[in-house]
Amino acid sequence: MEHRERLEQILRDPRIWQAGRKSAAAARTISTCWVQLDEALGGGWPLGQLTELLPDAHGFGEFSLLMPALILLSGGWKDASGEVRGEHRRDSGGGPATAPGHARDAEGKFSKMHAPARCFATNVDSGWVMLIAPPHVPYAPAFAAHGFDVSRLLVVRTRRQMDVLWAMEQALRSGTCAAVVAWSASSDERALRRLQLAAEEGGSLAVVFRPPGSRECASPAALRMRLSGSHQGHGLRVQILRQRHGPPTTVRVDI
Amino acid sequence: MAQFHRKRFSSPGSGSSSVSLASAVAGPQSPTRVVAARTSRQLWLCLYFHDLPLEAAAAPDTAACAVLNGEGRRPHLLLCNSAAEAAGVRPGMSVNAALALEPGLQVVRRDVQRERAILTRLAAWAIRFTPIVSLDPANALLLEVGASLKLFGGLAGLRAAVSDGVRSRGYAVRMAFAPTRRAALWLARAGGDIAITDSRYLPGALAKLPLDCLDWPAKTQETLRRMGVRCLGDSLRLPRDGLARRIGARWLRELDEALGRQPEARESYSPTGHFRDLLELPAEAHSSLQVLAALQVLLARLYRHLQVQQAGVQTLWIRLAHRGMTDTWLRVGLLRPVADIRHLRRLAELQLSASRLAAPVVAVGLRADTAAFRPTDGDLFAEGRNQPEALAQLLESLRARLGFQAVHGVGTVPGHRPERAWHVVTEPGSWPPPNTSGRLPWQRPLWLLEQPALLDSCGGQPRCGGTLTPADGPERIESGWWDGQDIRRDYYVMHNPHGVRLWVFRDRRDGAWYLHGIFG
Repeated sequence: MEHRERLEQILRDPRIWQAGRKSAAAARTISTCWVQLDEALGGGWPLGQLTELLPDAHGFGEFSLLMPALILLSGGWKDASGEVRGEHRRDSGGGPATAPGHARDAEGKFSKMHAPARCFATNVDSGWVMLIAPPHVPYAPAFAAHGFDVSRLLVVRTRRQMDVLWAMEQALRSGTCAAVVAWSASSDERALRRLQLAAEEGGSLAVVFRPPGSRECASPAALRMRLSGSHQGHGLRVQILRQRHGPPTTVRVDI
Repeated sequence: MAQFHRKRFSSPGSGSSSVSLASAVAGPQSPTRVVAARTSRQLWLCLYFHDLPLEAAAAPDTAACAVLNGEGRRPHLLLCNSAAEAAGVRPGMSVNAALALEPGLQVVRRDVQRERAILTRLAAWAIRFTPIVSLDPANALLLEVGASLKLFGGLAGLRAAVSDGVRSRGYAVRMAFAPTRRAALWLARAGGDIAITDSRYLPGALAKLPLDCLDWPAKTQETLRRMGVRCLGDSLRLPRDGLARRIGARWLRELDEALGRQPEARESYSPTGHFRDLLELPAEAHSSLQVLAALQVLLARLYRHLQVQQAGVQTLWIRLAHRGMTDTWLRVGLLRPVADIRHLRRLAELQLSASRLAAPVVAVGLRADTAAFRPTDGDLFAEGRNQPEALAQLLESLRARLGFQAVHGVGTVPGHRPERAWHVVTEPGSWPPPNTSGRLPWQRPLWLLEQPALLDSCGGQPRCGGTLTPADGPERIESGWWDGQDIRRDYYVMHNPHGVRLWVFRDRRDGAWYLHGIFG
């Protein structure tokens, strides 16, 4: 049985093409570090494309879904040799200093996340992570505790909605940030199309959080996902509305 | 004879030969001594701005205008423009006499500071032709151009370049070339438009100059006039010791310097680290496009200044002068010294578009604090993402439009109080990465509210979008007694019916429930 599981895992690698399976993502992706989501997306978050996330509410785990990929992109979870660390431990008390993830086990975040070593992105180009118009202050000690390299975090505060999209376009076009995440309430389709083009130009991870009402609006984003809370447990119900390689599906991710 | 041969075959301009006065006039038959000075071939260009007092006072061209020289016992007119001269007003007149001749005459006071400032700006411009520029208090610039002739295409090319440049700035100038500084200055003051490259012809050219081009005090000139000296050549013919006794050794030394017999020392101008420039607009500007056009001219001048200094701009200040209002200053901050004028222009454009013009602009000024380039240690084959230069440009663009405080990084601070465990880092990347050996025993939320929000409680239980159920806690934090911001709180992780995890605390002093953070 074990061998069969392992074989299936190897076959799930997007670098292997199998006739009869849905086409693997030819574009560059970064692993989401959630097993079910990686399978459904065929690799992970797309790099160089615009991803649109539509959470139903705020604060029930929509950012935690994105967090592992951001940690990888910021250069976290790397040991002294620069390689992405192996399996993280699930310790109940304080673990050794080099273990990534949270030490607490009972409630521990990412305790069900599979280890970064098994992520399909073993050598990740790390860089800056930019958050544009976040809803609240990003709390540096919490980010650091999760393994994020806080010195690579940039926060941009804006006063007007058009500034959010403008700043994101500048950041994506320059290509200097590894990931750009923005919270935007605007429904300007032309601006989103420009963001898509800018993302293609820069090649970074581009994520836009939009209010749930934007589900009906047309959007040029390459990946659109709707996030809602599942009533049992602390899982998250991810409904993939559109993606480049594959049909729309629904996945349940336990956060 | 041998000395005569030496004189004839000596290379032209190979040094100002010191020949006594008698031989210069009488002929080379009895040269007393020939000293081939070891000076290099020098050629000085003097730019004499004869109308600078009028231009500094912004005098109108059509109306009659005169500049008043307030120094001395009797205030008299220093300079008047062509319209005033047509009416009969002459320099040296008193104000009353001039007003009697031309009642509509505008009399402005001489502004020496402004003249000096304009001269300094012109010196900063002139430094592109030669590194040796010196300012003369009598509104003149002296440039040593002997070494620059080849680059600018000979004497004619250099002359054309200089006169075009000065004319484009709107100043009237008289130019003269001579082997010594003082000779060039006197020739320019006398009328200009003369070039002497060989020092052998210098005494002959200087002999014809009138005395008032020398800028000697009135008493000395009066003494000379009474002796029968009308032009410079007459004074050169007089015996030296007698002349020294009558007028003083200082003026005799000036004559020697002009002829090249004595070396002259003058301090040369060196551009300072600051760049200050002001451009007056021909008409009031109502839109930022017009301001940008003026700014483009100023940025081109700044680029020249930076080239000369081999430096970059650290902070740029744009000054918008309004009529009757205080000036508006816009600041463009840069993370590291920048010499890329296109990038500066883009930042200035962003800054201008972000703010509206409070009033029509009459003049645009630029002030730049420069700093030497710091060598950046970068990888030659680094990818685009890792170049710190591109990131700095991005951050500067964002800050130019959104404001300086809008872009920042975050850093951790050791401490128990949650709101004090983080801080804003204005220069991202400068704060050292946190030491991950300190593990937090309890969970912390990803998002922290700026101020804790009071929650209504029902029966001792807090409510936020529904009844909250505790999932973890309590964690007691009591700290901060030493600076008066002490807190005594019990923190809980709570769920609300929608599945949102909240970080809520109960203040132990008043028993109220507050929301402080949101997980996820």
